[in-house]
Amino acid sequence: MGRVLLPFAYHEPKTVAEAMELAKRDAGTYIMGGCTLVPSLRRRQRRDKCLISLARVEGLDDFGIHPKSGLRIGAKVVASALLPNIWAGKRFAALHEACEQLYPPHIGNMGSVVGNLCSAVPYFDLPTAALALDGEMHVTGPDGDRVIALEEFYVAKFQTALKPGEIVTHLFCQPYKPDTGSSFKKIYRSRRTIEDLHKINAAAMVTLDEERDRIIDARVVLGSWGHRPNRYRAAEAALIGNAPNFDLFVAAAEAVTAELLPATDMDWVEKTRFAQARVLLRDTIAQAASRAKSRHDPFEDATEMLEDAR
Amino acid sequence: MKTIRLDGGDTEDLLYVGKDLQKPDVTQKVTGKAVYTDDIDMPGLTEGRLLHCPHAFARVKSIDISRAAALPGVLAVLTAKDAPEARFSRSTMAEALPSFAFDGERQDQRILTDICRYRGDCVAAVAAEDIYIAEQALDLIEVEYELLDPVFDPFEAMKPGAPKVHDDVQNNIAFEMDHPFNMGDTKKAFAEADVVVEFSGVNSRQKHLHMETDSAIAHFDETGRLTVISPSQGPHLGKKHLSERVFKDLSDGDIRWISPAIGGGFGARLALGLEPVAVLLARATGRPVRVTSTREEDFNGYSSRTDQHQKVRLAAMKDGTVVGIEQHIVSDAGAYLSHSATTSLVNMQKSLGLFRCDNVFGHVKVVYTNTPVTAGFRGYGNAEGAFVLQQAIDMLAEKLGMDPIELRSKNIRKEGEQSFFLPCKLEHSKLQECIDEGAKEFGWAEKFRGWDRPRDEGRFKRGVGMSILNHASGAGGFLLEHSSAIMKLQADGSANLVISPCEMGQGILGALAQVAAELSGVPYERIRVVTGDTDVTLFDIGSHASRSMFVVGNAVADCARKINAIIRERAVPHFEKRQIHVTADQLVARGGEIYPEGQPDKAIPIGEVAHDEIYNFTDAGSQISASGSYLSNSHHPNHQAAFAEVEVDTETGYVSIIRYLAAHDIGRTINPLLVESQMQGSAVQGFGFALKEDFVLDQKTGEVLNDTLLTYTAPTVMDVPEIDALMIEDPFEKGPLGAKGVGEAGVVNPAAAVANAIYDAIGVRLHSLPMSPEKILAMLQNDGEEHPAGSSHVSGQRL
Repeated sequence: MGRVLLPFAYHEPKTVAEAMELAKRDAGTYIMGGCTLVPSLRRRQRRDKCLISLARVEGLDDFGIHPKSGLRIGAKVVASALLPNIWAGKRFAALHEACEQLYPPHIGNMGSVVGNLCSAVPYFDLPTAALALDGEMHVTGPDGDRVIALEEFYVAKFQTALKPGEIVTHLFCQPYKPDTGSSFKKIYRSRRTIEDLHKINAAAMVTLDEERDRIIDARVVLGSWGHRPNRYRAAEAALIGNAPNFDLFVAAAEAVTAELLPATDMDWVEKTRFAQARVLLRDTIAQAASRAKSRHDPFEDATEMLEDAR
Repeated sequence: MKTIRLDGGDTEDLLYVGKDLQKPDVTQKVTGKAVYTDDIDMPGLTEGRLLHCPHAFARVKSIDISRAAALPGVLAVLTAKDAPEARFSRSTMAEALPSFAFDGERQDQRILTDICRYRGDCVAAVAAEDIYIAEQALDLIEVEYELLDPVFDPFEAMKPGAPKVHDDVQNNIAFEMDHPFNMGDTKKAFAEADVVVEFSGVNSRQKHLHMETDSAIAHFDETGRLTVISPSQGPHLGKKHLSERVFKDLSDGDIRWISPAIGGGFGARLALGLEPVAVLLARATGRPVRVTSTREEDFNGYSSRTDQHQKVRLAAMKDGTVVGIEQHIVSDAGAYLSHSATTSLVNMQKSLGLFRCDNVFGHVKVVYTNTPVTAGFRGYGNAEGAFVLQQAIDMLAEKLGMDPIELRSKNIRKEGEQSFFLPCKLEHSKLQECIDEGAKEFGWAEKFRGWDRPRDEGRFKRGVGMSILNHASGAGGFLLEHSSAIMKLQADGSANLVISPCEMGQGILGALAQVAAELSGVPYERIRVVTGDTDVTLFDIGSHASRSMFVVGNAVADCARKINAIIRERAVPHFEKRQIHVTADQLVARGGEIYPEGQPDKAIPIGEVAHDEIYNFTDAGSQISASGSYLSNSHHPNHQAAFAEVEVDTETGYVSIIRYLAAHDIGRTINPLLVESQMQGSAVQGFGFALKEDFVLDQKTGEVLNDTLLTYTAPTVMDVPEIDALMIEDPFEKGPLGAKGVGEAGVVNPAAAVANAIYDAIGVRLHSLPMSPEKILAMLQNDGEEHPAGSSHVSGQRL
């Protein structure tokens, strides 16, 4: 039950080195927006005595999103910062949509993208979307820098592959291949037991060949089912090599649900949950494919115009 | 909002009533300057916190407070042994009932307990110099619990051998009665009827979700007199309940109760919340104490709508005449009774009384379970009943092959017929006009495609549904329905209006000031409203049952008419001085001026008279003031008809409300803006009740699974359609300027109308609220099979 916060020490270091030093000295926990951490403190799920804010640390505010160089989001960038960015919307649509649908809007204004990913909350949306975009976490720590692919990042519920003292400096996603589209969707549900989760989310990325009539690459991710979002390779394999159409999307969705395990022992709950997952996956993949097929790319338009002018 | 005035109303010339005037507290609210209980500071104020039991059913074997008490800054740590033995009900409502009815409401709760009957029952209370110390102290209290077997389902709880939530209650049945107005012979009527239908269902435990969580300050002054500050909807009743049931050494006059700004009520504040424990701590520490709860604590322990499992049967003849109605209710009170018996009774009053019928039978059982306490909620039993009854009515219409409108119109009680609520005549009802005008505006004739029509093709299917209701404008003849108001004039001609109802966002203070302005002659913008302090205001049972406009409004009207008469009488010498010879009867006081009838050019300001009355050095000096009262001893219902169009996504089970229209029988609209806001707000709350708001308990642990606003999804503006409000105006001679109540009714129809619309769209009836996507999907997948009945529950939620 959510209670009043207990007192804690609070530091606001200016550099990454200083932050890591404090973390080591006081066994402190890093905090950015606090959207996940503060409620867990109120619920006594965590009892951290020392918090180290990253809000004033210099150099964690990278913000680069471009079709040619990919997406690079520093640890301090809040989710709502992505919303007005045209490249985020066009080339990293899955992540953009996930940020856009954060509810309530205050969360998007306070919570950082990287913080959201690091919380490892099983039902969060951003990890599902970022995983479909092949995101990787760039990490610095007492033992030096390293890169962790999001697929290896989630170890267990609320637990990541980060070692004590390590800080994620930024999230990086590779630039899209040509004729690629992505998409994110979610469905809210009711929780039925303590172990149950209250929503399902899905994200997909689809790449078409030059003629745009055959799928040559795909990512299919389902989240809020189990402790972490997962890629479903059987579904991806079912898509690759085939022409994008409704029946194919249904088959891919079926390939995912065939791998899923029920979360409760209640038949009617599971029946509807599986049905909703199928529809969600089907529509998410369909939308990604449709975006790949019909994408309107102002960057290309501009390049073509320049070439025509020459 | 559109208004249809039945009598034309062309001859009226009103200055303030019927206009969108700004409510008096709006500036403070929108600038963040309004003072709520949590904003108050006073010298020596300490903070209290409560230790809640983490088990659904447990006995405290031992409790060690020594470490908590030793923490620097802790002033008091109290446990069950420090609390009065007296038992009380959270509900203060019963104080407004006659004693024979009061005795039916069990007084069953203690401030602090050593038998914890739900997760969240209070075991200990701490007061400390600040809230963080108090919170730390809670962690230092060591409690050893003996776990008992809990019971979470009311039907399980009634079985022989089930765990007993209260030792002295057989089969956990806290309250049981036949409806007092049962009549005729339903057995015979059902046997002889041409058509019989039966429908069962249950509502969810909708949360009030008042933005301000529960909070209370208690303070004994140097003379030992107690001041309570809390967001109460009825401080006068709170005061009586606190002194008579909880602290029996205090008497009514020993308590001053102040309700500051209230962050929403919706019925939750008609109860003792944290006030008793604040008083207990204030006594123990000798200092002012504030106790506040978090949102999660509100979810776990405070209150919600009572889930009422109902079975409704209707019998009718071929021509659609309803000849028999039966309703059986089993309500789940939670761990303590609170309002659940009274809301169940009101459900029967409304459900059984809607139609003219000679054979009526109602029966209610209210059952204890080891779940959080339920309470009264806007609609007060009516919304719970409508969901089941209105679906049964539609089933009957389908069996008879009648249009739902035709069946309802044929059977509703009309003006001049017997009322069901009390043995009296129904004096005023425009329900038929609400149905007819609402249907016309909605386009029912085109949209309702008959019972035999094929369903829409494709993934998205549309349907329409309707629902009607009668609701109270105060419960005259049943509750202690009287109220009084005071008005006094200042030397500049402005006035103070002292009234009792609490402003919890509904805007009642402004509407009452409009009545006062219209009838007294003092301009609206020069009336300052004083409320919320039992030392200042006169007795009143609080803001609920849509009573404030009708009952308090009549008291204000009485008072304002008296003021108007005094002003005119005292103005006569002022006109004499100007060589104008008139009597008081020939004068008009209006809009801040007094003038001989028909000669507004001869006007003098009211301020002149008011000033000379106060600053009068002869022996005639006095301030212009008056008090007015009103006693309502009859039933004056308001009515509503609502129409909904929905679209069901048959692949995901999602329901979108495309259009919603409610036509309300209001008598007269005092402030159209406030009325429209009430209509919209209540409809949105009703949509949440219908489709989204789901209070889910884990059936193994009794834990509330969605105790935050993230997981308990209330609708936002993005989830609701444009809401059309249609006012059917026909001034009711007994109302203040003809007005009846409006605040509660709007929450009753949405779930019922939407349920009927869903059936029209997909041919499936839902037995439980909310009508969430999963349930709809499960029902659709049940093709042709018997749908699970209302009492078959799945993990706290019933289909």
